Amino acid sequence: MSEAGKSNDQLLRQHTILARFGELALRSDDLDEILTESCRLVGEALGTDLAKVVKLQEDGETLLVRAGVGWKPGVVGKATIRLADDTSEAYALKTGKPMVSPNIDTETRFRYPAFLIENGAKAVANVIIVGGKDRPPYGILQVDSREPREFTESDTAFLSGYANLLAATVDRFRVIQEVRDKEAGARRSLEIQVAERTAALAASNAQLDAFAYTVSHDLRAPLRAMEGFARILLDDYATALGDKGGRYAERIVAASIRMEGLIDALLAYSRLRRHEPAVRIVDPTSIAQQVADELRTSLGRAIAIDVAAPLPSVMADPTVLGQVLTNLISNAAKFQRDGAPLHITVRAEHQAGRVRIWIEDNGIGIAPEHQERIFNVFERLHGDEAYPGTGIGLAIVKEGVALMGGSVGVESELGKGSRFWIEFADAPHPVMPTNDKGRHQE
Amino acid sequence: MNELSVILLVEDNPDDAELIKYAFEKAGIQNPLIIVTDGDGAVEYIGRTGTYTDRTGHPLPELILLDLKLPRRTGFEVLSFIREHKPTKHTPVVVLTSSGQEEDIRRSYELGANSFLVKPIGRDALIEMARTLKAYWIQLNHGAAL
Repeated sequence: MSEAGKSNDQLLRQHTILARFGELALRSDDLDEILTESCRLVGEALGTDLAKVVKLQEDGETLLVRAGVGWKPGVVGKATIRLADDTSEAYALKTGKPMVSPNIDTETRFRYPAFLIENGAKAVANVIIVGGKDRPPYGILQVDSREPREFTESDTAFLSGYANLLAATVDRFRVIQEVRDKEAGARRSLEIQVAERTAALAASNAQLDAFAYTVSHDLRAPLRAMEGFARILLDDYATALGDKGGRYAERIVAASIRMEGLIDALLAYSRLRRHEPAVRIVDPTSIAQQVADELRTSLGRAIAIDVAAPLPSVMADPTVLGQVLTNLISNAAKFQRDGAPLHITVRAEHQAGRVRIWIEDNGIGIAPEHQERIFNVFERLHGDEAYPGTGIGLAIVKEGVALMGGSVGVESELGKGSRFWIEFADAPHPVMPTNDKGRHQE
Repeated sequence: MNELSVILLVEDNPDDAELIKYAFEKAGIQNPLIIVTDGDGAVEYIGRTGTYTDRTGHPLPELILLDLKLPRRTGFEVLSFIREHKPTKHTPVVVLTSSGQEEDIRRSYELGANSFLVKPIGRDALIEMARTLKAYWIQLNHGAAL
């Protein structure tokens, strides 16, 4: 083959390698792969199996062998070169021009690092890999040869173009990494913020605990005294008190009993707000029946509460569901209408993955304009004389139902009665055992 | 324990102390009731130090009713002292306090309380509790000899 033919051949090979490298740089999202492959390809283009990329370190004085092919273990990722005036690397970096040593053994201008000699390199061509705009160079692409050799002008021109392509690729990765770092930084600061908020929340919960303790302990003490001594007056000093005095003492007793109810309800509400619900499959039937029994016992009379058993199972926390049903059923029992014997029905509707439990009464009902706000804490529609209460019961219902991922509402007509409903996800159907003997061997 | 055994009530609230005294009377508890109003007082009485150095007139209690929230030394500290002090190592201690916080209940039993009662609201409930205390701790229960 003629010299011209050989050179054409080489040009073609170098163009092909440029194209292949360009393709790789576009495709890969792995910088290590790109750098290593760039060394292999550049070697292929120039007919050598020894090449490396050395990266300028932060200190600006050291180069680290970042990637390479053909090297013994302990070079790639480890070997470093100190920049000094008598190194070809320093020269290449300073001038930005390709720097070639055709034969290291006879080289007089530069000193070469020991690992290069140990790995059998005899010739080397350096081309700078520039950094991004206004940035220091990334490093140097070094094509080494195990034989002394010349690098033609065409070779170094190819190398410069190749190194520029590599520089663009490396810079793209740098930019991506910067964005990622920024995002990670933002995420970290967000995480720190979340952690701080969580800690603050825990602290305020602890304060709430302390508050609940104070309420239960310190507010009850004077209450015990009020109730206790007023009753002692009533029992042991009735004659001295007289009728009027007796009635006043009775009012003290009644007031302290109301306050006790208020404290109990407040505590229940505060406990509920801090409760971690354990939602599981629950059968509301027995809970509703138990609530009805307890209510009959506490009211000391037989009241008509029909539980349409069986109610479908729901996903709920049994303790909280018990509290919710207690409040709804006793609420239904409380607002009885004059002349209408109390009748409460508990029944359920099952549809589209939800179970709605209705608690219906034939009591006094609620005017439409009040139906929204009855679920707020301390919201009361009636004076204590008519219907005593704390204003907390329905707030407990609302809070408890929300805690279990359910919802609550009311339909009511003044003078006819109210229908409260609570709604939950239904329980998944249990797997029924089959008669398939192959699967069930006892 | 018999009708002559001393009961020590550690209670800082004079209203509560008065009501408990009243309930004890109504329940027919005849035992001498000694009332100390803070944790230091309790430790001094039980350990026979301070104002209670003289043994005569300050017999060791055979039942201790202990409030938890006390000025100076807390009920828990008093309870620890009672259990570490040899003469009262086995003396029944009934915690009688305002709130049934789970943490308080757990800690009381850990420190060697024999029973945990929440002060009831209502004179009748208090008298009922006094009757039960009498029936169980004074009449039925056998304590270790002092």
